[in-house]
Amino acid sequence: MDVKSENNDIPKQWDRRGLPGWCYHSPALLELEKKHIFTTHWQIACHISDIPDAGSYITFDLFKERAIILRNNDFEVLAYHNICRHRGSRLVIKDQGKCPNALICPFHGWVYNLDGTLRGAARPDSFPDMNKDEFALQPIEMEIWNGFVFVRFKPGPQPSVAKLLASFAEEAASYRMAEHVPTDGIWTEQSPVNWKSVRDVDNEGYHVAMAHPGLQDLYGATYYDTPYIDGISRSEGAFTPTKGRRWAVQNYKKFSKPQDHLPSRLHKSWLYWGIFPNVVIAATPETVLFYQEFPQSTGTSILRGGTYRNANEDRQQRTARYLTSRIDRETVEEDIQLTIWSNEAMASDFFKGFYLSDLEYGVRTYHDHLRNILPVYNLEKAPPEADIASLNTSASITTNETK
Amino acid sequence: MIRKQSSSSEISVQRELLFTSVGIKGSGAMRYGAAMFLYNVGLVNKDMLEIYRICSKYDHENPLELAMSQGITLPNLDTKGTMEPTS
Repeated sequence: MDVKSENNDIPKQWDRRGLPGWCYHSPALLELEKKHIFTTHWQIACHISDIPDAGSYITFDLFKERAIILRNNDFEVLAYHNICRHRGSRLVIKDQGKCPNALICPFHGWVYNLDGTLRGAARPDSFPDMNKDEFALQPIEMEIWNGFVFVRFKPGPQPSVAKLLASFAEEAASYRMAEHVPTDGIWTEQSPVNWKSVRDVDNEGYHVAMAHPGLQDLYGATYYDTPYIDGISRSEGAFTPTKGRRWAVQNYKKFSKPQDHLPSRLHKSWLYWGIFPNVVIAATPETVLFYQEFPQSTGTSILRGGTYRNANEDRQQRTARYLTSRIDRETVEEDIQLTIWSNEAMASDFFKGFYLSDLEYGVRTYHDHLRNILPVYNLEKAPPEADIASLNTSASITTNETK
Repeated sequence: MIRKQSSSSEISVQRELLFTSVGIKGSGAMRYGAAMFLYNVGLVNKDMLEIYRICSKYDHENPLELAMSQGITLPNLDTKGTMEPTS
């Protein structure tokens, strides 16, 4: 799609408030978020290149649920609940690895074929006849989009990933992301904030000039983002024609070269595709990466991501990629600090709530997506914890959306 | 028990896996997985399958030695590399 051609005009009058502060430290609300926002929406588990061989697997836990994504002997990517059909033990206990030939439960030794069917129970003479399909691993809804493996633990309101991201399809395909290979594997990091504070920072570029000297040096005022519409947003920063003042940016601009497979308009741009509720895929000429955040508690989150590169990069591309990672790493650290400042405001009795700039309209539209799913976000004052779940289903809550 | 028809080529593959060299990382699990397959087609008996289970987490443990020490009938192999049913 041509995103710019869409009507992304910001209304003249809009409610510039953010979510009420109580939403950032309510355990009862967090349980609703886990159930209705995370478990029922698409999540990136990995990239197909993370599981290159038959028997390669990666695990992906989400709260009380756990997935295993693996390749079978026909090199198909499959996703199952990482739960043995015998006593429910994890079938694989490492984050990533290879189980050639079969999956073997570490508890009692039930054996599964790589297509998920049961090969056999340990001590088979102690069971009646068992059907290999009846006792097969339970599949998880999975979809591969440009090499990224999405899973969804429970049915939810989003359409297929392909449909959800249809407006990015042409642009994304040009990066040939499915042919990329891992750089440093999947990383995780704990952050001492509510997960929504991560989104609140990430969903606007108003702070770039002030808080990200590297990005400002790279693309400066060219950066723009679209608001969240139908569960997606898009941001882009085109390299400024300046030489660059900072070492990493200066050298990155020098070494980054046009990639033959990309259209010329993407030769000198960084793109970010936002996917509700918590995923971003970013693309530079040298890399594609994803990042996401998950709540651990009301006050802690897990940040998770991975970076992938062109499989056949030359020395100059490798140098440019290294410099990309330098700029990006610095940006992530700066963003983490911003999320801490944003999050601690939510605990103050004297903070009067966000008053958002037009340049932060994406924060508002993102919050509206949340409000659509959980109307209880519309309550300005903290309700009793015990009432939050019932209030959320109550028709008495009036919506507070930007129309 | 799961009894199934398996192609001779798959049996051959699993037989090779059954005799993965002792000491190779992951070989214990590889052998046990193969033993379960061969049990299903009647080429490994239940006692020997249990030996492979016991050894599945110990890559350096030789299942055949353990089986012999316990007087368990080994998989019946001839020198041409074919196997005959043992159960």
